[in-house]
Amino acid sequence: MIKIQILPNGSVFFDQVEESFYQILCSIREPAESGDPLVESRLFPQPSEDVEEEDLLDDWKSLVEPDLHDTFLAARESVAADLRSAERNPDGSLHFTIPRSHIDLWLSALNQARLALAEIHQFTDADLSRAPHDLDDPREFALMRMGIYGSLQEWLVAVVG
Amino acid sequence: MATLETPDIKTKDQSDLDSVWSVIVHNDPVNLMSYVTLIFRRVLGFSKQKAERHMLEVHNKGRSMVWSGSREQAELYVQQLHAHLLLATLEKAPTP
Repeated sequence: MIKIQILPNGSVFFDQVEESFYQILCSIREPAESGDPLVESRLFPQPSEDVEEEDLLDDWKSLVEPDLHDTFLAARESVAADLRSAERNPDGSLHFTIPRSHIDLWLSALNQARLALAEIHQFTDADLSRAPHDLDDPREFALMRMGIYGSLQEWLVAVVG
Repeated sequence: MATLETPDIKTKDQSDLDSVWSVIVHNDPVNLMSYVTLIFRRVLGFSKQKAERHMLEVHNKGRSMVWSGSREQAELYVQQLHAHLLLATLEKAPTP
């Protein structure tokens, strides 16, 4: 069972992390980088529903979206770096630390992953309220990933909130 | 001799600057309620109680107006909310 500990400096230490769980964490960045147009639309929504706001929509695309793109990418890369620093225990499990200053970046990356998975697999409200069934089914496996990322996000919100 | 080209400067309509603009946050089924509350507190400076009230309004009614005022500030808030992956838009508040 995974052990999670908040260190005195506010960092979060994960221990006894099984390989399978670690691999699910390592795939946090993939959904947001899928290139799926639905994912792009969700991660970079329009700032106005008024189609007559052409200037605003154009400015947003050329000025704001590149900044958001960089912000989201930086979060995903930071998470990947934290995971790459994981070390193996004698029993084969892993341990790693989320530095206090990286918790917001994890929150962003986890949220990106969940939003992207929901778009890629078109999960409905009903899907999001149920447990996944056959994990050999890619869609059900994605639903399980969403649950894991959501639980971790909820927990990190509690830490910083 | 080099000539200077006239820069293409876009200006905002004076009526836009004079109007009151609202920041609207829209519901989505994926963002966690606790996360939305946290972001309202951080970006908009809401108390925990006020943040939860607006979060529940988004959840139950599909949208909540979380701020109103100048267009420039509304755009800034929408940008910050997008940076936290919330669905936010600005719209001109109806004239009284």
